[in-house]
Amino acid sequence: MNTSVDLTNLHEMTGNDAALEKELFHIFLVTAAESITILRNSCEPDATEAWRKAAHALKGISLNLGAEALGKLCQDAQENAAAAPDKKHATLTAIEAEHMRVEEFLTNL
Amino acid sequence: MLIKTEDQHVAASLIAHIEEINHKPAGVWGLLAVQRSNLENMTNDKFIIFIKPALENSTSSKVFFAGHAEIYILWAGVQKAVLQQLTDIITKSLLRADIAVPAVDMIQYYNPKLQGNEIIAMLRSKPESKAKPMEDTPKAATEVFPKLSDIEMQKFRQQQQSQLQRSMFKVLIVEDQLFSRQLLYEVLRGAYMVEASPNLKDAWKLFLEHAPDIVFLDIELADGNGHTLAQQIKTLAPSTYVVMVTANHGLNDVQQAKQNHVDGFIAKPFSNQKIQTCLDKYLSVRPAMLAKANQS
Repeated sequence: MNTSVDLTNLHEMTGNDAALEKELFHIFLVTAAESITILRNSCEPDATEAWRKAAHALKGISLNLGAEALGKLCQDAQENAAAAPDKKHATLTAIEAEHMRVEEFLTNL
Repeated sequence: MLIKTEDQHVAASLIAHIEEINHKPAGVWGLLAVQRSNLENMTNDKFIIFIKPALENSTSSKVFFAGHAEIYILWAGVQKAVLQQLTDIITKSLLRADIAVPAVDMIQYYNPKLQGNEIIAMLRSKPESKAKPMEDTPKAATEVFPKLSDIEMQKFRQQQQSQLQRSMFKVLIVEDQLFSRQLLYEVLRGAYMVEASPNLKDAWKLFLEHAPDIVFLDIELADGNGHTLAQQIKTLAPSTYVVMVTANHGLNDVQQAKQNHVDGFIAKPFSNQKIQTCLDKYLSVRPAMLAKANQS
């Protein structure tokens, strides 16, 4: 069972509006993919701010979606924006794996 | 197949492709020109993500990013009806991307086979665009919050006076992430008159235009820091109820918010309960805030 996303809060906020949720999921997937691309391109020390901003952006939308695990990984990424490239690559791998689980969850709804 | 190009001489490269098409005997070709000014600050990567469904439907697509001016999408080997569908998909996708000012003519369609010379003339008439990535650079405070003229100030004060007569409160949402902005917008609309902005500059314009009662303000924004807007708002209109919205829990943010006399904090994730608590608190303090504002 995929437990990457808990939609309880989102359902409450949207009033279980399926059409609105579908639109929000689309926006989430597009924006998350964009943030991950930025993270992927920002592992080097000269891109600390780009990494931090992308991690922050993905954290915010993950938390609002109900993807808590992804949000926590992004929090960690944001706080360690100045880490060495190998650590950032490891964090990115974890984010990508969790993002895939979230994507799978949303596309199988 | 998608080929993306951001070379330094976009027009020259595009002309070469169109000249090549003119020498080919058959095939259906399409060229869409998208005005960049209609895309706000959408990055090239985000543009590609949003129009991907249209690009994947064709056998060959080439996207030309002409700096800050235009984006050209060239398709090869697709039927005219399919091209129309692709245009529709792109238009709808861009509208979904929450383009603030979707213009009817934001996408121009050309047939390179029939209009090749016309397109080449059009491209040659424009100064060569240098490909330059879009950047989210914080702007200077004077650029984001220009000094108000006497007339602008007068108009704002008139709007502000109308707060007392409003049957429905006005809310301004300032949040750069479309997902979170849309979610908050949907929760509030219906019960409130809601305006929303992804950046400080537009938020300030909306604030002056509508004199909202309540502002939900994200801290990290593409063109600067939400605290600066909070400070501007509280200086100009202290009776505005400002709620900072953030996924950060830093002490600095809390201290900065206190210095700016903001009225509340919401930590992401949003919830109906957190939002309602803020709104209830506003209702309880509103009479005193307005009375104090009138006195001063």
